[in-house]
Amino acid sequence: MIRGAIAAVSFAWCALAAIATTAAAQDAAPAATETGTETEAAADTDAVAQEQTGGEAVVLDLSEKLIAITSNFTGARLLLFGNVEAPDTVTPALQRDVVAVVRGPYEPLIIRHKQRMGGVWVNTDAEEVPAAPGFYHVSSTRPLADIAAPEVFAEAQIGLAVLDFDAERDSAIPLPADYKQAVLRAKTREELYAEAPGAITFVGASLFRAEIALPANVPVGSYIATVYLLRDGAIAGQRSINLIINKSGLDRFLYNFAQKTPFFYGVAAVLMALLAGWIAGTVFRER
Amino acid sequence: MQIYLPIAEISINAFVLLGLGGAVGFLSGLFGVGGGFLMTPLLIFTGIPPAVAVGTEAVQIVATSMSGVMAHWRRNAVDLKMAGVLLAGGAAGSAAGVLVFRALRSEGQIDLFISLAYVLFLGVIGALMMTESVRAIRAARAGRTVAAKRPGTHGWIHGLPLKMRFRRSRLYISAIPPLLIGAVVGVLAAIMGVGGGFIMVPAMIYLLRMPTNVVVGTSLFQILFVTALAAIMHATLNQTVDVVLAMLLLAGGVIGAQFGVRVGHRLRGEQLRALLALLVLAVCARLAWGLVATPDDLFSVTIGAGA
Repeated sequence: MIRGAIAAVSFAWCALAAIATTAAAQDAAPAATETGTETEAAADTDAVAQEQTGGEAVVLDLSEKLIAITSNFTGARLLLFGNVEAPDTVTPALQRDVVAVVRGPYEPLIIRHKQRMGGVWVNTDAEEVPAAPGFYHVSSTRPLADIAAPEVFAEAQIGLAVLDFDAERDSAIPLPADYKQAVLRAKTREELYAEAPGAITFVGASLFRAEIALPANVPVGSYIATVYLLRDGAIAGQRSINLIINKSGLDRFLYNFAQKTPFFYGVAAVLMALLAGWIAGTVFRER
Repeated sequence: MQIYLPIAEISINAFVLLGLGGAVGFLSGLFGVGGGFLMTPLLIFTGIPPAVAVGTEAVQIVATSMSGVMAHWRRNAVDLKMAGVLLAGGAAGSAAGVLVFRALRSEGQIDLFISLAYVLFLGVIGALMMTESVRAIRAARAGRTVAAKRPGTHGWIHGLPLKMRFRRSRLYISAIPPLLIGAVVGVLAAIMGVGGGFIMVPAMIYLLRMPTNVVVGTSLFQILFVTALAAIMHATLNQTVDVVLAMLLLAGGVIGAQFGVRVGHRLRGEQLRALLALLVLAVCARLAWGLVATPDDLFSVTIGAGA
């Protein structure tokens, strides 16, 4: 509820100011050290977005740029909002489309295929993907097919249909289609990959907003939200903003403890278990 | 009340976990088994990643067996010497088991292997226990008494060297069978994410012919140390021990175990064994179904670099 209120306030603030570029620049620095693949794209878009669009520019901001995962975390709703600065007031709103893509930290995947052998299902084949987004959410004003040709989206890696897992694969052979579908299926089931056509709504002529659901199992790391402005079936402008999802409080402490000094974490866990067992054994002493 | 688990990285209802811990803890105290063979599959069914379920379960078994050992210790129901021999085998076995686990995991066959191992061991042991205890119950109803311990039996076990006297168990047998039992249980503990009581208790009763009243305490004592070792290894090698999850499970578990121990004293030995056999067979059937039923998705996707 508090989160919602903050979002509402900042949305209202945005409606007045309609400029939120400084925050994006501040957040880009810490994220750059974490992942290589995504930040490259962000760095150049941040600088050039405004100039290359020929007078028409897009700006965006997020309700939160740092999401803390605490022990009562059950997922979050991220509010993405922005403004399309039209060159003139006569351009009809319908000729413009906005697509927002939130990409999560990239991670390697192993996809295994089961076959029945002697009545039992056994993993027989496997394929690897060196870097797949841990989170991938596309929201748009209309279904992607209505906005532009698949080639346009493939170039910018927008949409599950054109999402490419071959970028850093060793072999020249692309990932087989059934394996790719398996990844999309598994991630969609976990609510980590999603497409939400119609989720971006225009408030008035130039202001747009979208709500993005982050599930409880959302991976920690640095994210990039990119908004693409499309006109006449081509990308006319884009802008990116960084988002960091991190654990905080006790959860952060335990996670770091377990990752950085795993042996001592294990010993501490066992000691804690012994203590708990001893306390219970003493409290419930038989008469 | 939803709670976020920092290592498992999912959000889950805390009361579900407390309830699970309590129910399995009760059975653990009742039968003298760690309860891992029930808890590990149950945790996976609730959505905990299998690797985290296995690692965390080791921690939880440490706590449950600690309070169980204390209860049995007070009744002088632990054969320390026997436990020491079992433990020596168990430590070696679990170290070997971890190596096998890593090898199988890099081949992508660990899930299949775990299920097959469960089905095989639970099936054989459940069937053996069931026939034995049903026979004992029938005999008791018919008014005959069946000696739980047959002191005169001379099997192959008595022909082995390295004989030791286990005073508390009133046994004079070779150290080799308990060492081997300990080692086998250690391997299974590491691979299957269980304490191994469900194998060790029947083995001690039927192979070593230990008196039933010291079997539970002694097996819990061995389980305590072997799972402590396994927990530390899982935390160090795989970072799959979630202490928040473990705390919730053991908060329910240690309390459940206390009630289990007390109820166990009021039940007769053969009834207890029949109940355990039933439970073992039920879990076996469920896992066997999972092996042959066509999965929802023939593909599985896991995060992590390749072999």
